[in-house]
Amino acid sequence: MSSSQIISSAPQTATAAGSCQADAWVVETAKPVNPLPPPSILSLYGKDSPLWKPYQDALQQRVSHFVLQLKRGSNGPAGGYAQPAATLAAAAAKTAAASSSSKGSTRASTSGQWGFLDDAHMSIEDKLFQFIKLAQKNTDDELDKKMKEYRDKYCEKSDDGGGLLGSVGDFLGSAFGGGLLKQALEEIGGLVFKAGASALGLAPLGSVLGSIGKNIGGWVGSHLSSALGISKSSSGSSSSSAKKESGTPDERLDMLEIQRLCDKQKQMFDCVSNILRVIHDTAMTAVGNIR
Amino acid sequence: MRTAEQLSKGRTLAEIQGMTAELGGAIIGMAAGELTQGRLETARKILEGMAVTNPRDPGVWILLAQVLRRQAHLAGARFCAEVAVRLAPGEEQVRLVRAEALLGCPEQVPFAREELQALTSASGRTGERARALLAALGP
Repeated sequence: MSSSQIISSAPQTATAAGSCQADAWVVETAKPVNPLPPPSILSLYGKDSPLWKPYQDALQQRVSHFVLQLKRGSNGPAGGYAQPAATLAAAAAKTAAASSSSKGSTRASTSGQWGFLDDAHMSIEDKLFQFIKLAQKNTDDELDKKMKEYRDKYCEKSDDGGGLLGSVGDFLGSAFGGGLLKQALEEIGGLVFKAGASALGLAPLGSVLGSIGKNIGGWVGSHLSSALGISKSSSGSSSSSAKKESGTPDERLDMLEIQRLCDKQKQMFDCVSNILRVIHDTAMTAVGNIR
Repeated sequence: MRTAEQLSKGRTLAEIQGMTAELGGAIIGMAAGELTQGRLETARKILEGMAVTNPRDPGVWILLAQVLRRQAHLAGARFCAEVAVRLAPGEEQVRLVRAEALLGCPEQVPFAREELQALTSASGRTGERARALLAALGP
């Protein structure tokens, strides 16, 4: 159990255990201490700061008394005058052992890059910051990977004709030397270039289908009807539907996957942003009360 | 069978969709009409669609080469003309279109001139055109 957890749980238990509350007051009234400020305020001071010292003493007293009360309640050594520090250490060790046994798998999973979540010296704001940084990095990596996969699958092939450029160049021989073939590709577009390559027997026409979709008949028809001046509006709608339907199902699925990743990222940002806003509001309330 | 599988087996979209040679010829004829009337962009769109639908038709490629040449896309025109020549090596009209495309490249002009010289004996409009081009080029 971390120190912040002890701070928050000790007073609650002391007030809940009614009979023991008087003893706690006896101890505290014997040596008056400053009331404990909220943990978020304590985390603002360094451990060596003189401001921290009185709170640390008060904390020590409260925690040790709490441990004593626990021992009495559980029929421990009666009238135990154990050293508070030793008792505290033993209780802390026991608590740590219990939590490690109960959350063994969780601890194992939070080691490594997520190990900062178990760091007792980090404030919740720092942990949140680290968390968002790490989560952002992981999501970015995943997104980057997906985009590269998409590029390798569809873009490079449809943009420059893939490896066809070299084979067409070899086939046409010296007639198309230098950058002339690339220039031709830019001028006529990847589709027609691939069609030409398939006409030369260098590639099956199936590679063309991946780029243009299944509605090539409708595409030709729409251009024909617009050329003939027949039903201009319907030709426009059919060409727009051809645009909508472009791409293979796999391509659309990959685009959906990238969209899903972006949605996931947005959700995470919203969530963390809300948490940080609540924390900030809480801290500002405390600051406002001090004023 | 899926369209992609049929295409990968070497069939054309025209075969898969049941487009007959008459229908293809009619579409190409329309494109030629657009080209004659100077609507190059429309003709190009139709011909590009036809090139994808049936890339084995040399008529599509020679018309596309002419459209591209008139749009000043010389490399594209040359590519289309080369494809057409590969599809129909002995066709005089195809050779004429390629020779015209080659005239746009200064280093290929001698070869184009040879081709035109060989085509002067051709019958009909092809021969006439070859002779006219040679006369325009001068000695």
